[in-house]
Amino acid sequence: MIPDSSSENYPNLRYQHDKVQVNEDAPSFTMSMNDYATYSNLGLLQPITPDLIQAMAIRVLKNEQFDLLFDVANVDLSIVNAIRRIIIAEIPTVAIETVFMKNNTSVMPDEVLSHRIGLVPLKVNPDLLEYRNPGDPVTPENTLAFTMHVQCTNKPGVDQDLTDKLKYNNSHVYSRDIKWVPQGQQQEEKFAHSPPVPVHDMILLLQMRPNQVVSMDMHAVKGIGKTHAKFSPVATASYRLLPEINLVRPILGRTAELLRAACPLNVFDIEDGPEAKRCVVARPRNCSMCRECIRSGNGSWKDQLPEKDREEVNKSIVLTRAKDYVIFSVESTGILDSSTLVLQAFDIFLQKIKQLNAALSV
Amino acid sequence: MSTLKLQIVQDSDEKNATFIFENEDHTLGNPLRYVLSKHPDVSFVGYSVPHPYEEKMHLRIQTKSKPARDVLKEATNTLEEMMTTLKGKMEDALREAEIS
Repeated sequence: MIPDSSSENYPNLRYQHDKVQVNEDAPSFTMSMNDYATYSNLGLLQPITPDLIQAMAIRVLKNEQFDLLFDVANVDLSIVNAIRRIIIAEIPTVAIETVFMKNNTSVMPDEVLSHRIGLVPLKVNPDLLEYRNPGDPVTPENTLAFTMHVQCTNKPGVDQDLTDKLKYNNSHVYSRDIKWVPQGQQQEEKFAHSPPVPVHDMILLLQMRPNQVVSMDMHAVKGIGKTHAKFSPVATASYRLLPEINLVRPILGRTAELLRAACPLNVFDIEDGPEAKRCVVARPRNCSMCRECIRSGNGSWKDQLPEKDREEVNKSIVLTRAKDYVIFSVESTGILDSSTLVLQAFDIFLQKIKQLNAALSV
Repeated sequence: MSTLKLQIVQDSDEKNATFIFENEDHTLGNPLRYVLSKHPDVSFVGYSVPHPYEEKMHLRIQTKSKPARDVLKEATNTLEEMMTTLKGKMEDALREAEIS
């Protein structure tokens, strides 16, 4: 074990290994110190042991269909980041790839409209479709066809002072206007239990005026986020180190009141103490590490304190982040469940490792 | 979709080698670097993606005694064990969240 703070010779070694200290200007101890021989001069070695593997821990905090929040402890960030990267860029989904514009008399140029249509998330199970590689023929197995035909018209006998939506038919074109055209009976049967539709009905694609028309056919294919962001199955997939706000010395009375009010994310609470009201860290996970609580520049909350108290306060609040504890969040676009995405990411990673193993065995 | 292609640039000494991964990037490079940096026989390990337009990742390994190739294989197995364990823990955690 790395010596903790009670060690005489290395009072800060453990702290520097475990924490990133967030200071007013820049963070310190940001590097990871997990190499096999980092502490070899202390006779300490850090190999990967079964204990280390067993110490990895995951706890799910929020498990909604499209919004997953979980904690990961004792896992190196290289692995956490690999999972994040796979979720964003390597999990397949289906999106519109080609637009055959038959007519477009709207003010929106063809290419701009096509681009917008490509970004619409489609509720399609990617497993039901094969990849279409460059040069492959278009078949019902690798392509879904869609069509959209919308014409804007006047509503007869309506007061011209009304808004566009009331005056005209189809003045607004939405994602729900994109209609699936099954290619053959086989495809229709394959998708029968969940026919391909946009995830959201009311994504505004463009607006039109009377007598304008948009009419097009579309082809959707399977792809991954690495090729185009429209294939990415997540709105966000991110992780952050667990924030820790340490009140090294108690903050009391008026200072406590000021500190509570100064935090824009409402991290602190006031509790009745034995002598005076004292500040406690009630919601550390709210903290975004904005550093307002330790800022001492012009206009900071400390300005309202007497000069002698400021020094005291500066020493009292220490912000750190845990290097081995992350908060991971996955917000799906609605095509696949967030929990499915994470498990699929693990599978894709394991598949990569298998491929490497095979390549090394040759 | 695109599969891994591995090219091994072996130094005259088999303890030192650069592994060139085609169609891979930081996603695989960084975890491998991490596992190798914790391997007792590794004296140097580093990875790089030389150019963002080229789908290539270089992994340099120098060891004390074993051939670099064998050490990479060991690291791959360790990483696989870690990921399998972690996946199991993820599944457990999801199940637990469903119950409560």
